[in-house]
Amino acid sequence: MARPVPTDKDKELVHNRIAVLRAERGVSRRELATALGVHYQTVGYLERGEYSPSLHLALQIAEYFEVPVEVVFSLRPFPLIGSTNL
Amino acid sequence: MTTPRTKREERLLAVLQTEVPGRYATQNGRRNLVRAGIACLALFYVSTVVCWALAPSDTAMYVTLACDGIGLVAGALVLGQMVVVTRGTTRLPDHLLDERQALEKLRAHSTSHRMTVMLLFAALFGIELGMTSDGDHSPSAAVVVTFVALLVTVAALPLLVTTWRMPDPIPDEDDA
Repeated sequence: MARPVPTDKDKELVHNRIAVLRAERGVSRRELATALGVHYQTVGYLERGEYSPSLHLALQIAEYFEVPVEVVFSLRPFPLIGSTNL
Repeated sequence: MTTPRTKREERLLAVLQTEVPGRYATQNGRRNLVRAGIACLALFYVSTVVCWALAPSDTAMYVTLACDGIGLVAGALVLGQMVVVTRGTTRLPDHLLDERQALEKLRAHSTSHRMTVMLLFAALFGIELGMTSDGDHSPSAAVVVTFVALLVTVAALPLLVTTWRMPDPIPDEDDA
């Protein structure tokens, strides 16, 4: 079944799993920020969804976690842990 | 991106990496700081109005010195706090900013530019009013004081805009 098309409201919103991946790998916000060459607040704003990264930064983040970019970023919300609707 | 080139830039970055003071961690606290900044700027305009109305006179001179002096000292303190709160977004050179900060700086300058255009029209209107209400009277002191007020406002606007728009900072302890 086709997934619903994002509305105007979430047109600009890019969901991400940075916090989950960071916790999983035991990486601090400052460590990730240093590796990416950004301010640690930027990592925080990314995690809170208050800032959407450029394509370059998104690819850098995916490369850092050694996963495809779509594992980290999505236009649709990621399913919650334990959710049956995967 | 955020690579310091000199010892001075390294020190500057270290200062700006520290946590934002607690009272400015909330939107209300930061906006109060902006209001304080606007109050400091308003002092420059008070002296401008007094100059246009009373210059050349001792009263105009003393009021101008007092207002501009207080505005300068208090403004420097308030704007200094804003630089710390915004982590130097509008003051640091571009090579020390990451993409989010660079974008925020660009947005702040763009908004400030629009506000400056409005300010210039308001200044023109005010000067015309000052000149026509008393014939062609336009004291040179008033022109200089008006220029100083406009200059200070234009210089401070990007910082005021960034502080006003800034989202709540992320606490350091989150990583603990």
